[in-house]
Amino acid sequence: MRHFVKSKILLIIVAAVFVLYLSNDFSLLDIKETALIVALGIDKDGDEIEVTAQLAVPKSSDQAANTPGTTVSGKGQTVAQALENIGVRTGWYPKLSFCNVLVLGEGILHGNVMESIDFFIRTVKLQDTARLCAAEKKAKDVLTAASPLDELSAFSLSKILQKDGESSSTVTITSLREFSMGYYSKSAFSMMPLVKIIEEKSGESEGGAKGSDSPTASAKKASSSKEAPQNAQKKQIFDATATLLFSKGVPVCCLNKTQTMILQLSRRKVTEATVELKQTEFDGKSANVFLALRQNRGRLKLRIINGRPTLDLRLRVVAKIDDTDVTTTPSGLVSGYVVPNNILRDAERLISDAYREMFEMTRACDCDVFEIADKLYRTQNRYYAALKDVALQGTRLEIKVVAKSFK
Amino acid sequence: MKSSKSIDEKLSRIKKILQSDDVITFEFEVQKRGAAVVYVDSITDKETLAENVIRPLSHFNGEFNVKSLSSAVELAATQACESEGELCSAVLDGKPCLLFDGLSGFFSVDLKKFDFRAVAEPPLQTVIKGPREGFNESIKTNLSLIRRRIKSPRLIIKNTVVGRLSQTAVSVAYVETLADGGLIDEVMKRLDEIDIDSVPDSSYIAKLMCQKKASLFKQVNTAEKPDVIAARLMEGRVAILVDGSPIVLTVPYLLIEDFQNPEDYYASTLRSNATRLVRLAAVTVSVLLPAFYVASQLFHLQFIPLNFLLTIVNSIKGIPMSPSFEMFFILLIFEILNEASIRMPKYAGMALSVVGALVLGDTAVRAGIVSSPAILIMSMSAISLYTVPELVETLSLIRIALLVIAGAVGVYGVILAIVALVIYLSSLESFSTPVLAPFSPLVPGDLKDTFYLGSLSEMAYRPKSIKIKNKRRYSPPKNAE
Amino acid sequence: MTITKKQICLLFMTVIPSTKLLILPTVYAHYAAQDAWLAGAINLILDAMLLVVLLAVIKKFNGKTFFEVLELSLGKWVARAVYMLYAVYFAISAVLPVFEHKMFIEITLYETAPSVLTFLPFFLISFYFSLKGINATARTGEILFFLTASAFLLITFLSLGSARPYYLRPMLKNPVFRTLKASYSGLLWHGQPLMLLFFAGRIKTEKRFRLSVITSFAAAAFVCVFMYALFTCIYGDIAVRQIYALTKMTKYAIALSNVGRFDYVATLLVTAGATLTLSLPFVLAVDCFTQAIGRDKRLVPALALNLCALVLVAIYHMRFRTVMDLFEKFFIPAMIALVYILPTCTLLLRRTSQNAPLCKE
Repeated sequence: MRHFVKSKILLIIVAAVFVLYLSNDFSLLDIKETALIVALGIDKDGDEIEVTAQLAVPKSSDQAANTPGTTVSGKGQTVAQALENIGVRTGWYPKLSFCNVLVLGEGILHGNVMESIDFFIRTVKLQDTARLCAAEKKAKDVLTAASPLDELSAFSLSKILQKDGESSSTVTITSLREFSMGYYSKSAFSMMPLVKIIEEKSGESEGGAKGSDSPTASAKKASSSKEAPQNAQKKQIFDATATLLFSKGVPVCCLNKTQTMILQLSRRKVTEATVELKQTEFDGKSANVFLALRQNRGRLKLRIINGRPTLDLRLRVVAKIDDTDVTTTPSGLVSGYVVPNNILRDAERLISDAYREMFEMTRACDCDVFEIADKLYRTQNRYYAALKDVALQGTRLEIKVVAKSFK
Repeated sequence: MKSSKSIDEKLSRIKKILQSDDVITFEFEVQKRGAAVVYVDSITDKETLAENVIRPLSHFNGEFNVKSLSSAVELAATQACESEGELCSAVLDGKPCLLFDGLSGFFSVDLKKFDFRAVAEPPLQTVIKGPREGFNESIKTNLSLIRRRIKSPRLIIKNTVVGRLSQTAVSVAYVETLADGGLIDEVMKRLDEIDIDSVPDSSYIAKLMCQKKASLFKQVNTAEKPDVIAARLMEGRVAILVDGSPIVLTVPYLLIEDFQNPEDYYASTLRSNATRLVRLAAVTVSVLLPAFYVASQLFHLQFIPLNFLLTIVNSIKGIPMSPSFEMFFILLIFEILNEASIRMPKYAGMALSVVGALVLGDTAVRAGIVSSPAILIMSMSAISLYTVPELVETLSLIRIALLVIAGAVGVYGVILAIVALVIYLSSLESFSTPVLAPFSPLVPGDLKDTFYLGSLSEMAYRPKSIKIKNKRRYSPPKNAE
Repeated sequence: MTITKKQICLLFMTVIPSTKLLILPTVYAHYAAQDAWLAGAINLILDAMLLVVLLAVIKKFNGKTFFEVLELSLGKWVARAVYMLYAVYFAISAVLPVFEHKMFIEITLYETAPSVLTFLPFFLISFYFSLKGINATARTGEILFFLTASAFLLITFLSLGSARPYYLRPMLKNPVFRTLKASYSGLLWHGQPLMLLFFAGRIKTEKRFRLSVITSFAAAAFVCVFMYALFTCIYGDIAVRQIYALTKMTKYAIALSNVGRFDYVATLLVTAGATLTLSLPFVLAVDCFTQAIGRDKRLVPALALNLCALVLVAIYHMRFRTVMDLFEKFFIPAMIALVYILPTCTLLLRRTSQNAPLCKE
């Protein structure tokens, strides 16, 4: 009897599962109706927020290897509303988990950007590993740009902001998580790269798809012709070497390429960093020398000396001469392998000055670029209450840069 | 019933029992008295019967009683029979029986002559390195193959008969100093309890000896090679040989045994370890891959890397079936092909391969009925399954179940199903030994012959997962460091 | 059937970490900020103390079940009443983790099908566990331990790279009241050592039993505290905004950008371990109930209990916060009494000739 009941129960379960299996009819979203969003741009359009989504649109595998993309926009009072409007207009379910890039348009940068990106931090649909960047003009322009690097501008932007950026010192890498961690820290400091579009005439770019003749480019043109008809003639490449610094979510100043590089040197390990020393003595001549910096080790330590915060910035780099603008003698080539002391000292001076200049510049904007307030709270907590209001303005910066030759 | 003394009367009584036409009665004279031999035509060695039994008896001059007559036969395998029933059993077992006028007793002579397959390599347990002998359908040959490997008086063979009508000979083999007494008693008890009319194959015995009859997993292991059986006997297991079956049963069964190929022990340890890991990975792939593929498409797109997802989306464009039904359809076709290829005559096999590979593999994709990633996933799953041939039946059922669950409720359902399987297996026992041992209950010492294989010297002790009398298997040389 | 030392140890190491790392780190971070690990450690120390008490109870009344101890000391009806009380306790204590787990499953794994249907099969498994009883649960724990352990190793491996110990500072600077508040709120996820009380009388006598159990608990507790610290090290000030730390912590690993989100494997493995953890209160509730009514028929109570839980989840599945508030308000005091105080009182019961240990450990 028990066995009979058991087998009956089992049969019912099997039948139920099988019905579910064949029907799949419980508000399941079909893969074919899902829009795979790979990048989002947020712009301000009057009082409304305009969200531009770049979608990866699959095409038949016997066609070109690259994935063509398309962009769709939606407007609303909030980001969520704008995203919803995209779904309404296209009939697609926007799938955000593949979105790797968030571009903030110039309009958004006028106020506290956190108001716009807060939605993405709240939602679990978008991974907070997505890279953030600011656009010099409209975010939509960045997403509709015809980059020679990839069919989808989002993918070429990803290359700059993720893989290349990690090894290079010229680009600041900021994910949604890192930006919000900075925003909510005691320093309320955060940053993101500023993306500029540099236009090149067709055929100028090397190694990329040859202008509008390529089939992939034609696909691109078709998809984004309404937004950017001029793209048909020109290729657009991205420059993300500038860094936008934020205090309390508001952009306060912008770092140039060199400043971005030295900021990165103090914050993380980089594999490619170059400084140019002008009119320095090399091989008995006055020359412009390009020094490659390797194995950087930066350390920032906050100390309280006589009741005054002092930030110790220590940077050790290993340098190697990459290039010079003078013809080197054979003996110079050999001796140039070991960087002469005078060049190392010049490099140390140059980097120290650049740090000092950057610190003063950011301090003037009330931007805590070295996160002094946060360091004060975490590492010198007992002084925090007394010094928190004067932490940034009252801090003395002590810089020690040590450059050694690559041997 | 006491036997009558008149030979005619005796023969008529026997003929009433053995009415079959192939039962032959041959009458002759011994010292001018009537004598007869009763035998079954198809299973008796008639030449030996004539040369070594009838001729010496015809010229017999000694005392006329059963004992002297049986000693006159120039064969050692004579046996006195007490009753007519016993006589009939002996005759049907290929042992001609001799009756004499005026004598109340009979005796039988073992002159069985069956045609058997030669000892050959079994198709399911082929090896590159190692012995290639396999069992055949003769229990005597099979026992001899085992005896040849264990020439010890401690190897005990106990004979019994199962099957009311078939009277199938069953032998239980074990090493006296290793196998647990309780286990042997349990095996004999369960064999005695079997009440069935016939036993066509050892699988009948295996099924009838199981505690959980409707179990998805077997509780009695099988092997077709004497070296495997000898190794299992050496681990304290009990082997059950059934006449007419080339498959020998061993108990208790541990699930991990199916991942242990005999060749693992013959090849180098490093190679064997790599093979075992491959086997584990292959089983995981074969069971889980179709389920995960379907579940990912339906419920968890984020599991799939973007580029691969785009490829999938490309290929499923225009496919009329849902991902779940598509995979189920391919699986069904595969199972049909598989079944057909086993049953189909060999000369038609080529046609089947062409139909299977071309029609399903290519034309179906071109026709837009199924997608190529789905075919790829199913093919990988199907091939991987055969890395553990002993578990193919079970795993293919689990694969279908997981596929259906994945299509119905997604990966979480698959995880729950796996947990359910673990609960089920955790409580499953084979002759009082948990089948999941040495993982559950955890026996750390035995883990060195699971997915990791230790060197022979590392495995100095026999598995503790099975109750055993003598644990030490290997003693290192005394002067070894 | 007896439960071995090894099974208890592995059960502890599976059960203790597998559900304490979903919402709990966020609850701790909410009140205790960078001292979240401390709030967790306080509760684990409390659990360790409970474990020591229970081991003493087991030693004192060795060979006797808790029911037998109560029956012989206080009478049959008191024993039945206490067991009924524990049956109710276990039944209620099962609810919150199930709600939490359902949300976790739906949010992290089912983006495209937010249907309550996807979680309901859990009750089939918990029903199966309840039917099979404690021994089968302990045996299953041995296998699931391997899965859970490998999951935690993978999670640690993937998330260590993005952790900054800097975020743990300033240590012990959070107001004590807030840290204690965090511990109090987190108490709902604790008290698992209590199961040992209901294993009493079925535990196989083995050498170094107490030491092994305490060591396994300490290992499991270390994993939890380490994970809380790791969580804080990864998220710093925004830890409070992160729920389901388990899946979130791993995704910053660079390796994932090349091969996709294989960190989900770890999530799925932990889910398998969590199924056992979530089912354990159901098993114990059914066990206590059958003992209390004096009938060894598990089918009906197991079915009824799981059906009730299923209905509750189906109706209130969108109200986790309300359920949690209710539990915090009313259930924690009852829990403190039943989990921490009552077992300690058992130690005060006299050892009479009837309930004296059967054999020495």
